[in-house]
Amino acid sequence: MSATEISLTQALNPQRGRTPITKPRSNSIWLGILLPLFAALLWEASVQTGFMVGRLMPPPSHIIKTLWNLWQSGELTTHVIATTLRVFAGFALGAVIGTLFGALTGYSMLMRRLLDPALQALRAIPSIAWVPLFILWLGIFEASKIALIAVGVFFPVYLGVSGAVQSVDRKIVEVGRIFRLSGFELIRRILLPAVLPSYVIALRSGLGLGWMFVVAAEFMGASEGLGYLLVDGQQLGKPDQILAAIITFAVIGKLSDSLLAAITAPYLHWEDRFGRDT
Amino acid sequence: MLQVSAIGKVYQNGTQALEDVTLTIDDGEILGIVGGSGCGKSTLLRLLSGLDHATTGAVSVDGVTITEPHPYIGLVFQEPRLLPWLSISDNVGFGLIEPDTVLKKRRIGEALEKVGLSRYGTSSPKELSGGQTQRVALARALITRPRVLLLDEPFSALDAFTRVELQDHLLDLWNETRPTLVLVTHDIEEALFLADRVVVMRQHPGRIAETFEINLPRRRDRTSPEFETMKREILRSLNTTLTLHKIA
Repeated sequence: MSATEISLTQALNPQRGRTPITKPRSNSIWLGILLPLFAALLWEASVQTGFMVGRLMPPPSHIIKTLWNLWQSGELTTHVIATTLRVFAGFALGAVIGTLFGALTGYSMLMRRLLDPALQALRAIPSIAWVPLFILWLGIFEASKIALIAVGVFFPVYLGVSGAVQSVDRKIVEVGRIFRLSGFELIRRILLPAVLPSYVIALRSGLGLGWMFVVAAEFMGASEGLGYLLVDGQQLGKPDQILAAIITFAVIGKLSDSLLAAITAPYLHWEDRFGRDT
Repeated sequence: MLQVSAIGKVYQNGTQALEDVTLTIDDGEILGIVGGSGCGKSTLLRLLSGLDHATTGAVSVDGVTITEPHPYIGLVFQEPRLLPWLSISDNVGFGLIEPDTVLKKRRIGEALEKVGLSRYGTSSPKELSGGQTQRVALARALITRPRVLLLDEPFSALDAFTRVELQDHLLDLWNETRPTLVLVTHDIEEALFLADRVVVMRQHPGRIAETFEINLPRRRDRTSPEFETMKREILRSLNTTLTLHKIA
């Protein structure tokens, strides 16, 4: 179809002009799968033909079988639930505190000068360095794990919210002022909606770090969870189990991120910016 | 009556933006303020709106001193400044305090009709053109029925055709309730077309250089010889302020 034909069909039927926006998206999913699929097939073929030894790097069929067995025995479900609950609890805690401090320091210059230097100093500490202390304080069970995840989630959320509140356009804040909105109304009707897009990004990076820190937390010693599967796989020399856990991480990490993005998408439909399709 | 008594404004960095500006603006009067860039005309408007505070002197409306934004006073900015997450209707009704939702809806409908955008109530700001969004901004400022409407170069970002159209439109809106209008502009023709009185400001520091009474009957013909004569006079005055500045 030539360019004039396209513009003609669009002119005759304006709805038609919209369909190409969704079409490339469904195509792009398959395009994204192409490379990993090709790599997996190549590896599978290399091992099957005896060209490579798959002992330390088991072929896909082997990993799938392990995953299936774990699923069949109900172990996978137990581990996934344990890990997800930890991430969820840590994320909720870290996100709430991060939002609170971020809003406070973003809104008030005094609070920023009071709190931000200390928080930035804490941020400079590698979060894993807290592990021994958390274990001493909170024991080796859930509390210390959730605390570590919460610390990981806290900083990206705090930074994101604080920065977003500070960078709200003075011009639209003045619109609120000219209509004499009180402090609370100004926050509810102007600041909150204005920071929402950056807030969602902050939450998503927080959640990503939550998944990262849960592994560290479960390395601290856990009897269940995907992190436990990893450690167990290393100690017993089961690379297929390690890879199965890694793949599960990838899947549920991506799922939780997509879920968060999907939940918040309806509130962001107004955005008018370059490259909105995530 | 809007009373501006000897106001001055010094910014924190020491810049004297305004010095000893005194103005009395009658109810229902349209005052045009023109001047080169940096003459403090926008600063003056911000002081009138209560968004900024004067360093010296005071602004009052009907004897009430203005220290913060006041319900009597509306402001239309240079840019529409619509809230992108609200529909056009919600933008128009943003500053309207009306607990009765039915009544609120009706007033928003009326306001939209007045600016000729009834069809766009459910649209979002990004779907409208520059001229249309500025109309929404006008409707948003007028819906609260302010006694004084301040306009800060409201049409400067629009093309010449839309600008002329909106100037006519503004005059129609003004005719309905006759609020006091204070219009800051760098477009002499715009000031001359709309205003009863045109104040020419000079810079460093900003102050009033000259005031012109415009006694031409309304809907002014932009091509009439009288209009042209006034325009030349104001232009001459404006040029003097600019050359004075260069010599100084």
